[in-house]
Amino acid sequence: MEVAQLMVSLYTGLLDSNKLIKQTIMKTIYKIFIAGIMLFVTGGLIVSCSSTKNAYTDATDVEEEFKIEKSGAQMWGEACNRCHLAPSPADYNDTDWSTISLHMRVRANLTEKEITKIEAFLKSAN
Amino acid sequence: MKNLLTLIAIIVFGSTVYSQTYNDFGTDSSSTTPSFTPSKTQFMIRGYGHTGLNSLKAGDEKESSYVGSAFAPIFLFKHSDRLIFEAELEFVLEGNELEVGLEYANVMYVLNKNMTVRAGKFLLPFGTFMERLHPSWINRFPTAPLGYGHDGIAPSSGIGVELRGAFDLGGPKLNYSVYSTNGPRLKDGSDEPEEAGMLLFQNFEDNNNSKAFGGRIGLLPFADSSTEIGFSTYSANKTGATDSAYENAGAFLYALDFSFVKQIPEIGGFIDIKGQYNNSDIDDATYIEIEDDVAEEYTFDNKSNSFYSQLSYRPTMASSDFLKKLEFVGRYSNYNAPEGAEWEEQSDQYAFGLNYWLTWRSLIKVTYQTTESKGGHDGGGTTNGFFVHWAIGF
Repeated sequence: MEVAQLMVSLYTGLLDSNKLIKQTIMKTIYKIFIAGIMLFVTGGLIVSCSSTKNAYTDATDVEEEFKIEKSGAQMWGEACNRCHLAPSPADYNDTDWSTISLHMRVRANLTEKEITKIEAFLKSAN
Repeated sequence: MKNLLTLIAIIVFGSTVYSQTYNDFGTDSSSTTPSFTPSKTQFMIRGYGHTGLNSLKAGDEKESSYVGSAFAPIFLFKHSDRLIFEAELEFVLEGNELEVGLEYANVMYVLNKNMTVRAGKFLLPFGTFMERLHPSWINRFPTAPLGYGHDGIAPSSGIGVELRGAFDLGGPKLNYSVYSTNGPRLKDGSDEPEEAGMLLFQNFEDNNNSKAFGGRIGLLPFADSSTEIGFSTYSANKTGATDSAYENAGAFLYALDFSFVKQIPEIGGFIDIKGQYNNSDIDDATYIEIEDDVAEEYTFDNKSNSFYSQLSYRPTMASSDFLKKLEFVGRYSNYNAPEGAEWEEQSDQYAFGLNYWLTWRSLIKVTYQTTESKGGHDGGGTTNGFFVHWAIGF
């Protein structure tokens, strides 16, 4: 009789632990599923909003001098103002701007093109 | 003796003459030595600080104090064109005592044009407010929106490793970051019963073997970078201490953020719109409440959310220099903590401000703020505040 009770309790315990494991797995799957859907929606948005033309310079066969590309000054105005007022180039020297540019490239997640042009502009205008 | 002095005098003056004759402006350093070039290794201190007057009224209680200055130096050490170390300390006066905090300290290495790795303690890209907008010279208000800070639901920083970068999509831009940190620690109520069920994100030493994973993806759909839409997640399978009853309580948080900044000639100035929605879902757990020396178990649906939106306008195209430096700003924020929790709270906050920009990194903020709360640590009610602050970035 005692053996039978032990077997029953063991079986019940096993069921409980299985249930717990299943719940944990389901929660994980649910979280991954939700994150997947959200990433999918965001990705869809990116694709739908992305320009279908090539990067600025390759769009047409125009001569070099007619390529339309943003200036460093324009990018400085656009990128910096996203968070704070655009800094005055005169407030730091070239050495400082090198350090600040590398820092801001990472902090604000700027593209290489943006930071290269902005840094060049700041150094030329200080 | 005279001979000795004569000899010394000849040597001294002779060497001087020799050294002078050595200068040849045709060949010396001014033409043959390359011009000064800064070394790649550079050390720099930047940072920000603020101070001001806070006047608060909650019910019949009034309080008016000059608030102690906060000083947050940022140390930047550029080791090379790819490697940089950054650290920020925060010195704040709290309750007549100086508190020092390490906001972040991490090393960053640019792997390639689209990828940077960083490790250490860093600000989490959970939305944009904590990572980009919270410094006092950037935040247009002296206060943070509801849902951030000590009792907030949005994580601010973590210790771990992160991969981040940006892509130019030929006009639109995409930025991303993925990271793993020690993850949050669930407050079980043993130390602070009134905060049982909250997450503590400052986890310097992991309390279990489960790491938190998160990331943010941001899209700037227009070529002028005026608009950014971001989506962030943060997930941990375990938040309780190993072998505790709370070990398997997981947490899943997500945030949506929006930003629009553009100079619009039709309205003669800059419009800046920011917004962020945070959602936190923590697995239910049973906590213990002691009432009249009797321990009672209770549980609740541990879901919280917060939201803020902010609109500011700077008449930068005005003819008057004074008007150009003004900024009109308004913010609404909302916070909903779970029903049944000791920290249950529903709050709405409106803030209106008039700022004057002394320079691009220094401003005076005059703010009126009203907060309507139900529940919370102080029992709720209406709190009105008037603030005059000065903030500077350096």
